[in-house]
Amino acid sequence: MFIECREVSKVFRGRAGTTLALDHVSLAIEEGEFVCFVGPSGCGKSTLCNMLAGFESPTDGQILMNDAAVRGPSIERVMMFQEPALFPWMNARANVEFGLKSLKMAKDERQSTGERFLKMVHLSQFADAQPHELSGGMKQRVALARSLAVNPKVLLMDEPFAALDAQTRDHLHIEVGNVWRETRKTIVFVTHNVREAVTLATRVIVFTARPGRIKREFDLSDLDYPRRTTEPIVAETVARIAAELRDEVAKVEVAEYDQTPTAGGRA
Amino acid sequence: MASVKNNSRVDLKTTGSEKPRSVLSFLGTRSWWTDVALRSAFIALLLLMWQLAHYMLVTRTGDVSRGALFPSPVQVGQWIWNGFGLSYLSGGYQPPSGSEMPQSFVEALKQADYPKNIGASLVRLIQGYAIATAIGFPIGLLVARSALVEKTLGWLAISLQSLPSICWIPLALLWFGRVHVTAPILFVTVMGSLFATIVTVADGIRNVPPLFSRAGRTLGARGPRLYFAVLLPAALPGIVSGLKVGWSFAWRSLMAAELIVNSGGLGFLLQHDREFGDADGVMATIIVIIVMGLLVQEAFFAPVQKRLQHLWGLTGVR
Repeated sequence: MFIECREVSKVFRGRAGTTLALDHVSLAIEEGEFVCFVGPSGCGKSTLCNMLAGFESPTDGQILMNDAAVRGPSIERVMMFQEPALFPWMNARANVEFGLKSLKMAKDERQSTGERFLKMVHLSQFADAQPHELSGGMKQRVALARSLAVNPKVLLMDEPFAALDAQTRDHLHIEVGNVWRETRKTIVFVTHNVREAVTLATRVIVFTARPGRIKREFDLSDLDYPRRTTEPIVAETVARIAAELRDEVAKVEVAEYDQTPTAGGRA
Repeated sequence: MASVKNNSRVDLKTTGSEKPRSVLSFLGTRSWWTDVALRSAFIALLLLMWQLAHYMLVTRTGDVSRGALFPSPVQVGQWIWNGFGLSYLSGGYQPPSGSEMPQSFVEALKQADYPKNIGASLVRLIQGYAIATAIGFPIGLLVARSALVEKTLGWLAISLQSLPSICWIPLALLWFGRVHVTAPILFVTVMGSLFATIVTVADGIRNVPPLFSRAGRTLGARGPRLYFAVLLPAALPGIVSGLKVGWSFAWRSLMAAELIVNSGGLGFLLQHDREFGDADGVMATIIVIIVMGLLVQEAFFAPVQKRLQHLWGLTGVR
């Protein structure tokens, strides 16, 4: 098995007491899959992504990649964040080449690789721009190029497009979809947006409200790309997954807002 | 329908560039000369108020003793002018002759020599600040990185920082008073600046958003590379403000030390003029000290910070 989570639990200890974020989650991901984690806020989907990246370790259970336990961050498992997290003192080119330096790549190879990936995200003209001179979408595209340039075995994306406007997000969905089809890289993508998940993923995993458990999985590998939400089969899938999510969102409302759940909740 | 269209057109026009501009609209512009003009006008206003106060309190009452304590801006300006040895230019200097001789001699003794004393202060400042930074900067880096160092040296630095630097003077005189006449001054300057440098440099690094570190680590940076290629550059704006705080503490401590240790410098001039009962001299020297501080700030730290802010894309926030 490529990536395996065995009975993974995570407990956070804070001032408000201990919180069980993830409760015995078991999960296997094959090489080349595009997996989306969907769940209400606080369900531990980002926590699981962080643990896959190696930023956090499970309180209980094991995370394995190629049968070796995940210990700490590695360039094999590159993570993209909700913020582009570009280094503001480097231009776009230097940002993309940053990870290549970790790989001890020779200078000319590093430059040509950097250029290739900037071209892939259609930002060749902006190679010398400082991050603050780029728009939000452009920044996130540089971050995508930076992550892919090091050719990781897994690309982990923690709500990478949540802060972008709808049009930019649509463009980036197309770009990420293209990347995945061309490279067949394993991608784990965390989102709370069901439409985003259905547009991109070969498999959608729905998490329960806290403590996070896997509620249900949806295999979407039969759906053809590009998927438009106007197509009936896609729209129907979105509706099915959204229905699954709705109960969980309602639970969060009760737990976090001291409210009675509103009719239907929000997907 | 037509009238609605008409109305909207009018609205567009008034919200556009033809909007009547406020008299103060030049404040929004960024050119350096509007800044200079604004500040000059403000200083002129302050001087005018000062002159007015002097007129009300001294000139109108004719109270001479009061006049010595509260000089007019012209008197203070004259003092500065003469202090820079410019009295020849203005023709203010009369060659002593006959019975005037002793009086002029005393005047000549009293008059400050600013170039010499500024030079003395600056040399001490550079020495003291260089020593404090050379020690404080690396310690600050260590405090930010190691919990052990933070809980020991970092804690000590915070405790010692709360001690006003002037409190070091008695000890400095006891320890170094016989080594060299400026040694106690240097010691106080270093002690005044060192702990502030440690604390603020450490803060600068600690305030780096964890996101940068995470991005660096996921892209394979670790150990020295994570530190020197990610954390240190990310902390640069904070480090520069740390060094700036260290500088201003060094400057203050130096002035305090010079005021007490009788060994020249701008701080010494303050005390010297007080002993002669020259309020105009004291006020003139205060102004010189302020201007020196501003000059270093504008000539050195401001350009560096501006450059950093530009590179970081932090400009435009006002």
